[in-house]
Amino acid sequence: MDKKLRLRGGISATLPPLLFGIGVIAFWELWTIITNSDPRLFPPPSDVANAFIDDPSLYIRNAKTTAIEMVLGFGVGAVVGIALGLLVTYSKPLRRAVYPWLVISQTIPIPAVAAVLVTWFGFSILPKVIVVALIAFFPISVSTTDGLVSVDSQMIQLMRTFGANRVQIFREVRIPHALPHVFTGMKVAAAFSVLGAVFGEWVGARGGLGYLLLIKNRSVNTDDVFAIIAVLATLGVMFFGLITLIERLVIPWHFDNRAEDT
Amino acid sequence: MNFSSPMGTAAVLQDMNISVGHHEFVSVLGPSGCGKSTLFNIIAGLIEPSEGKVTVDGLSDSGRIGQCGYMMQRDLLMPWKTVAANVALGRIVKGYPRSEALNAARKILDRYGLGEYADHYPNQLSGGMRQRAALARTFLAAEEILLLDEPFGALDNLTRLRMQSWLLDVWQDSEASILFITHDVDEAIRLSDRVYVLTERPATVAVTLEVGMERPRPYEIVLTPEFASYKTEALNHLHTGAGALFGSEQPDS
Repeated sequence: MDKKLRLRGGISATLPPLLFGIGVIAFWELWTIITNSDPRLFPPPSDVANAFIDDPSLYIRNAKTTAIEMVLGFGVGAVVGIALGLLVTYSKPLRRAVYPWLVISQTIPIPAVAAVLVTWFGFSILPKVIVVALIAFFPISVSTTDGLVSVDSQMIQLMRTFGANRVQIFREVRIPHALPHVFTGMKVAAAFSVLGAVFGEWVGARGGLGYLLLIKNRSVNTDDVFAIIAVLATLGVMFFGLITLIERLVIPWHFDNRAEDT
Repeated sequence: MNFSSPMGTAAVLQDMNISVGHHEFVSVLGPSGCGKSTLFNIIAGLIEPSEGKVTVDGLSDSGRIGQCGYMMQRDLLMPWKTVAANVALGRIVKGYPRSEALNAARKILDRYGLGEYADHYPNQLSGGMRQRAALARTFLAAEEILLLDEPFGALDNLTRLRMQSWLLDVWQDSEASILFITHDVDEAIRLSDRVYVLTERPATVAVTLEVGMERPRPYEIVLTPEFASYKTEALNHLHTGAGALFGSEQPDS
C-alpha cells in the first residue's frame, strides 16, 4: 500500500542530486566558453564526453581490470575484517594484543606499502588486491566488533531463560544484531576500494584505470584524464550500490521499519 | 531466601519466602527499585541466591533454568525475526523442529488475535500488540510457570486495563501458574489470588493478601467496597517502610 509512496520518495530523493550534477556540468561548460580556457588545462565536459565516446572499449577494458582488483581485494578484506572482528570480540588477550596494531596499521601510508608489495610480487594483480584488502578490512573489522559488542544484554538474558547455549545465542542474537553494522563497514570499504585499486596500479601495473590515468596525465590528455575519473567514480558508485542491494536482500527487516502504523 | 549484591555489602532481598501453586495467579507488589526484578532473575535461574533455595517443579539449582517462561519489562522482540519466529524462539532453542515450533507460534498468535501479523516484523506492531506477542512467546517457551515482570508497565492506562482482562482470559483457559510483578496496587488486586506486598530494600514480605474475590473480575471491580478494603491494607503496608514515600529509592538492578 505504501509502494507508491516509497516510489515518490525515491524520485524526490534522486532528483535534487541529479539536478545539482547537471547544474555543475552546465556551469563548467559555460565557464570554459566564457573564459576561453585552454582545454589541455581545463577541458569542457563536452570534450570529456567525446574522449570517452571516441574509444569506449579502452575505458571499459581497463575498468574491468580495476573492477576485478577491487572486488577481489574487497572480498579478502571483508573475510579478514569479519574474522578479526570476531576474534577481537571473543578473545580478550587477542583484543589487547591486536587492537592497537589494527589502528596503527591505518596510519601507514598505503602508497608506501604498495611500493614494497610491487618489489615483492611484481606487476601481477596480487599487490593491487593486497592494497585494496588493506584499505577494506579496517572499517569492516571495526564495525563488526561494534555490532557484536553492542547486543542488548537483556536479549541474551532472555535467551538464557530459554536455556540457550552460547552457540544458539550467537546464531539467533549476536549475528543478526551485528549484520547491519557489518554492512555499514562494507559500504565504507566498497567506496574506498577504488582508491586502493588506483594506488596499487600507480606503483606498478600494465593495465587498469589507474595505470591509464598515469599515462594520459603524462601526455597531458586532460580530457582523457577527466573521462577516467568519471569512469572511476561510476565504478565506485556501482560497487557501493551493489553492496547496498545485497544488504537489502540479506537484512530486509532493517529497511521494513517504516511501514503501516496500526 | 536471601540475596545480597555481588559485592556482598547491601542486602537486596531478605527472608523472602513466597510460593505459587498450580494454576494460581500470584502478584508481587512493591515500591519501584525494591528488588522485584532481582527476585525474578533468581527464580528464573539467571542468578543464584546468596542463601536459601528456589525450587521450580521439584528442580532446584541450575536444573531450573529454562523451566519458567520469563517475560521482562521490555518486550525484547527481536527486530530481525518475524512475529511468528519471535514467538517460536523459546521452542526452537529447546530443540523443537523449526517448522513445528513455527506452527505452534501461528496457532497461539491466532488465539491472541495476532494471526494476520505472524509474518510482520515487530516494528510494525503497536505497543499492546507487542506485549501480546511477547506473552505468546513466554507461554510457548514454558506453558506451566510464567514470570511476568511489569508486562503492562509501559502501556497507557486504557490499553493496560484491556490487557489485564485479556491476560485473565488467557490464563483461565490455560493450566499456567503466574507470578506477576507490579507496582500498581489495583492491578495486583484485580488479577491475583494472592498478593505479596514487599517492603523497601532490603525487600521482604510485609504482608500476604489472600484475595478471595469472585472471578471473572471486570474493570468495575475496583469500585467495590471489598476491593477498597484490600487496597487499603496493601497501601498501609506499602507506606510503613522505614522511608515512607521517597525514603530510600534505589535504581532497579
